[in-house]
Amino acid sequence: MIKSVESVCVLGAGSTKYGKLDDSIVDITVQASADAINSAGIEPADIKAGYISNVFGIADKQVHLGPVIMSNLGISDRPSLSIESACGSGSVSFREAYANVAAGFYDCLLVAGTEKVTHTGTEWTTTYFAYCSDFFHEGSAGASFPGLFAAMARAYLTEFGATEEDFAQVAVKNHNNGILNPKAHLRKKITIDDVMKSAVVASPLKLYDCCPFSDGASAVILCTEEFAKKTGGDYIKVTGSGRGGSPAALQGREHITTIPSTVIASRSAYKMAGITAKDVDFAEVHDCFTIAEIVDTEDLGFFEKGKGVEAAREGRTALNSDISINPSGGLKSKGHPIGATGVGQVVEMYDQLTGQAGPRTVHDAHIGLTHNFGATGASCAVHIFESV
Amino acid sequence: MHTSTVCFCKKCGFSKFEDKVVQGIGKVVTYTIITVPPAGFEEYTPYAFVVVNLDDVDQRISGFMGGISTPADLPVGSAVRVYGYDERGLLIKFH
Repeated sequence: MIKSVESVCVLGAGSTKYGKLDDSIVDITVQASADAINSAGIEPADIKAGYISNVFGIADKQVHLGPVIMSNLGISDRPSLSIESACGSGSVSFREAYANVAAGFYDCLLVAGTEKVTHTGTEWTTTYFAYCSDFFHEGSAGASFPGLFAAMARAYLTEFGATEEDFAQVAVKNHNNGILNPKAHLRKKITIDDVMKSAVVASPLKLYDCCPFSDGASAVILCTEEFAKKTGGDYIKVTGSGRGGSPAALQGREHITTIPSTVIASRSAYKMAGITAKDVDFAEVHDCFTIAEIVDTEDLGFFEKGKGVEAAREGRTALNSDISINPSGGLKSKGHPIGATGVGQVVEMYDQLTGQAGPRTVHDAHIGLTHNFGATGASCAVHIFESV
Repeated sequence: MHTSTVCFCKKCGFSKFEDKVVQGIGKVVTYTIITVPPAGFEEYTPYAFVVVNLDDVDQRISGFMGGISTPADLPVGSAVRVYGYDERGLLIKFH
């Protein structure tokens, strides 16, 4: 009989390093999954089902990843599925996994996200990513992903009088955090000047305004609190889960400088968790480009519309400042293996809230938020986590 | 060609649409100048991808605008018009 459960928990977490990886998409997904299983102190046989998020498996000659991963973990009899929601695949998959545990279908699940694209080269990766846009209106007219966010950036510069140097602050801050993360793709200190002098990719965005193309896999074990308690391992609670949508093409949005799905998903997650934006101690937000982090921190309610840029300039989003934004280094420095990113954010929640984040620890943190979206925010999921 | 692909009105859900010929003239809402292009656009680089607010109808369109290499070439608010459609999508130029 199915009985809904009160608390859903993250019991274990694992990640490969993000970057240019040599191993296959299957190998890296299995490595991250095995790390999560070991971190949780469980056996593969405890896992009742697998949720695998991925976008471009076809680029590494493997789709239908679910059964392949489950077979490699020695639990080929367990059901699995693959979920694609562009760059938001990981959080969307996490949400569906969450709903299934909460509904009582399974007491313990594997949620793994993965991507392997760097071997295809910049032009083809750019081309594949453009397929995530509303292609009829955007990709077909030559819009790359940096281009779409650059269009948002141009609108923001025009509307709020921000400067390109302001955007660069986000890159500098996230690199400062990423240096402290051994799993990060770009562990390199950069300056405002470095960002400003980097090559223009899509004006006004320059190379250092953009997250890198990354390979990588992340996995977490999601379970009922009853199951978590039986294992005796460290766990954190998922207290809020929200999803939202936006017009798929930028042209369909009333305001180019806000992402409606972020607003909808976050308000839904806050309501469920019984908190407001002010209660959040730290957040992993979707900073695929510097402009995205500015827009995200406003849409999530951390700062008023148009003020996110001021907060970045004043260092109010740095590690252990007013609100630590992207302590992991974010997509910008930790990297963005698109199918893995949303799950990787949950790994950071687990590490931070169980005291395993080392030098990038957010002090006295009890409530964390993950925010991950697909494309220019056409799909989005926000989750709230609390320490126990 | 049709510039919209929706089947239901987002405000009322109505599904019967009438074709209306629009002039294809409007103002640039925002844009970017692409210098690292996706496949198929190499020979046109740099170019602008623009979002345009049409003057005679409550609708925006997106398209390709060649001959743009710096932001000084294309202030937000510039008057532009659609002049064709090919493998680069909707083709847009100054009005």
